[in-house]
Amino acid sequence: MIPATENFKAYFGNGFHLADELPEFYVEACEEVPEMLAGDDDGSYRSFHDEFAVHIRDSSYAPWSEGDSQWIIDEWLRNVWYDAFGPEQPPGDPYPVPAEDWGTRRLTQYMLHAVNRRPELSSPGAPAWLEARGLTFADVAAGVEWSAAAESVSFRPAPEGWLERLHDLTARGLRAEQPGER
Amino acid sequence: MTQSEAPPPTRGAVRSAVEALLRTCADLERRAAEDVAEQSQARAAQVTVEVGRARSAALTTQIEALTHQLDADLSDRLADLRHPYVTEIHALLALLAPWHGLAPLPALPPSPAGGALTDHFPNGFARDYVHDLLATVDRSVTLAGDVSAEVAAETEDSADEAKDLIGEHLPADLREEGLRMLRDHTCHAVERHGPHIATTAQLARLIWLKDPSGQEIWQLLPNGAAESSHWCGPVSGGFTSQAAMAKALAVFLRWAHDHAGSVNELITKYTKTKTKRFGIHVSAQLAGLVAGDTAGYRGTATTSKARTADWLAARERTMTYGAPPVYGVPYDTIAEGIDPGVTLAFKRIGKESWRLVTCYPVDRQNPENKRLEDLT
Repeated sequence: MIPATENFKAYFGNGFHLADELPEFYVEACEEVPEMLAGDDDGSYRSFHDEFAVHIRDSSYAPWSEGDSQWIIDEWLRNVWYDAFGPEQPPGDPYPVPAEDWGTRRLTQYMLHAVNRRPELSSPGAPAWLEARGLTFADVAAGVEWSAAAESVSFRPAPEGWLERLHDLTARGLRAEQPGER
Repeated sequence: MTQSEAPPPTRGAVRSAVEALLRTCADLERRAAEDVAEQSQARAAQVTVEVGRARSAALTTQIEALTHQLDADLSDRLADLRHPYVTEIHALLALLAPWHGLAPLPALPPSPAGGALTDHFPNGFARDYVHDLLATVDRSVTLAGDVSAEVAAETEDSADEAKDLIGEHLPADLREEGLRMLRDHTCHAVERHGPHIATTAQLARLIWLKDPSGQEIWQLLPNGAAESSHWCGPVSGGFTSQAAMAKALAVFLRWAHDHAGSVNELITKYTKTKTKRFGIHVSAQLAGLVAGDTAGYRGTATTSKARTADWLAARERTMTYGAPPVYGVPYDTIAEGIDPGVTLAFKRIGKESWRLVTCYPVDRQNPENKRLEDLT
């Protein structure tokens, strides 16, 4: 869906965009999600949640620079979604991540920054965050070292028919074409 | 320094191996070139002597032939030197490719005669990645864990003193407010990006996640790994002078007062009632920041999201296993950025009340931050 609403931009810009620059803002944004959903009297946070899923479904969140392909951006958004909302998959995701991959072969920015080998080295919110996702500190520590050897299923390359899917979504006006898609 | 049990190949391990091999190869090439240059100079000296004995046109031809021979020698030797490295680096990049959303890489093209090291790799992902790494191979630096352990933390006194001096560069009518922002306990702008922080401390922050203020946990472990509760992305650094650090703050404060009456009113006007954090981009132009006002480091080859994630994975591996540390490149964000400026990051602490958390130089506006000039 294009363009993104101001509501989406306001909540996404509430820290989810700063994992690399200012990890503490990202971590706080992830940890406050249950509270934000619970106190969502005007429904605006639920709208943000719903639109987030639509951007993943439609590949409509544009890369920030030409070095990032739409597939990489969508995979990043799936990770942010997990960090924010947990294992419930974004509705309508055409390429859902297998639930068992989270915290094992698929690590997110929350795990990288906020979950360290001991709780004392981790974010105070990490135990609750992990529990809500059925993970432990040990799981994530082991996940840091999952094997990329040939017999493992690897991280995900863009699937067959990916570019055709993008062309179709672009033709339907759901997203803007990005450089390198032709 | 010993490493603990050998970890299985991972994103970070593969990324580190690619850079290590490339660095070794580039180093060998440099030495081979120096070697040939030495021979070349010796032969040139000999030729000069001969020219002195008998000036002739034939000699000129001979000199040219010699030069070509030396070039060919160098090319052959480089091709031989490069071959095993190129093959291995290509195989490793193929392992990394899926993390970049890519299917199997194209095979290695036939070795080009001569040419740059990058030319040996197939067009696209592999060549671009090698190019990115080689671009900074001569400037990039690292820091051993035990050296990081020796880097002294900046004292609270030095941070307090830096704040006082920054205050002197704020306009008189904004000084008190600016100082209150920097001194507030929620603000760590000076503690992380202040001009009093030593360059090595910024490097230790990037490579080993060592908090320059010494407030957060950091410890080197016997196996060469390190544990830290400090967080840092792929960039560290800050302002080189008190005056530079005051620039964006002064412009922001003036703007807030002129356009909204106060900082709280300006931010409240542009945020939803429930959002708790807000980022503002003050462009270098608006702030009057120039090359040399900022300094720091960024991770090598961190020019895209996926490459940055590779580098972060490599750093994580160093922290966990004591593997050889990652590399950083000296970086003046204002001089080198494409839309440079300063991010001012705020946190809501009350219904219409905001606190500055930090301010740091950036090489471009984060697209989800607002530009100061748009907050009218």
